[in-house]
Amino acid sequence: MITPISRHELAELASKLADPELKSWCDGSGILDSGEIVYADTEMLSRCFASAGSFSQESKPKSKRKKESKREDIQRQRGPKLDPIADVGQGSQDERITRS
Amino acid sequence: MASDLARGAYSGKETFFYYNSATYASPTFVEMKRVRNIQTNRGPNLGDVEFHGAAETGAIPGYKKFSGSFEYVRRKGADTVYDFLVDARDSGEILDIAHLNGTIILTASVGWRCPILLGEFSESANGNDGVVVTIPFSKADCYTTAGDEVNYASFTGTTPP
Repeated sequence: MITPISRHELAELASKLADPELKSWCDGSGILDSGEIVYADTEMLSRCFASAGSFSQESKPKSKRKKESKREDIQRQRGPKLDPIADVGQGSQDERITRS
Repeated sequence: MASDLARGAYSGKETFFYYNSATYASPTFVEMKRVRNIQTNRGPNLGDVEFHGAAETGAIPGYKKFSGSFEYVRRKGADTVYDFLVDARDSGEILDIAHLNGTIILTASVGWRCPILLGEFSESANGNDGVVVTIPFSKADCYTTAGDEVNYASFTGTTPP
C-alpha cells in the first residue's frame, strides 16, 4: 500500500522520531523540495506515526484532514445526524421480537 | 458523450516514472517528472546451436535481460532529482525504479519495477533545444538483506486507504 505525503510532512515526522531505523527511513525518503509529494509505504508510515505518537491525525494528508475537520464543524453546527438505515434496522428488529 | 466507450492507446506522456528513495521492502516512490523517451528492452538472449546433422541452425533461449534508457530534461538551478541520479551513477549505487501506465496511487496502473544501475550519461546542448541527458540503465545483480535475489518484476499501483 502506498500513501501520498509531502516531503515537508516527512521531514516533520523524522524530527519527532527517536528510533534510528525509522528516522533513517524518513530521512531517506525526503530528499526533495519541501512541497513535493512522495508515495510512501503505508505500513512503514503507520509505524513512524505510531512511534511519533500521533498517527491517528497526522497519517492523513493535510487536505484530507482539513476537509474532515470542516465536515466535523458543519456536523457540530447542524446537530446529531439521523441515520435512516439504522432506524429501519432497529424497526425490523423490534418487529421480529414482537412476532416471536 | 458515449460513456460506454473507453480509449485504447495511451501516450508516453501519460506514463509515470518513479525511483524509490527509501528501502526495497518499504519503498517511498518519488516521481521523476522531467523524464521522457523511456525505452526498455526485455527478453531472453537467443543463442544459435549448430550440429553436424542439422540442416539449419536453430535458436535456444538464453538468459533473460533487462536494460533501457531514458532522457532527463535538465533544469536550470537546483534540481534534487538530477543530483540524486548523478550521485547514484558516481557511487554505483543500486536504484529501484518503477514505470507505470498510470499514477502509482491507482490499482489500475500497471508496469514494472526493477533494481538498476545507471550507465554513462550523455548530455546534449544544442541551439534552440532544451538540454537533455540520455541515461542508460541495466538491471543490477542484487539481493535483499534477507538474501533474496531481486529481479525485474511486474508492478501495479495501489489506491491509498
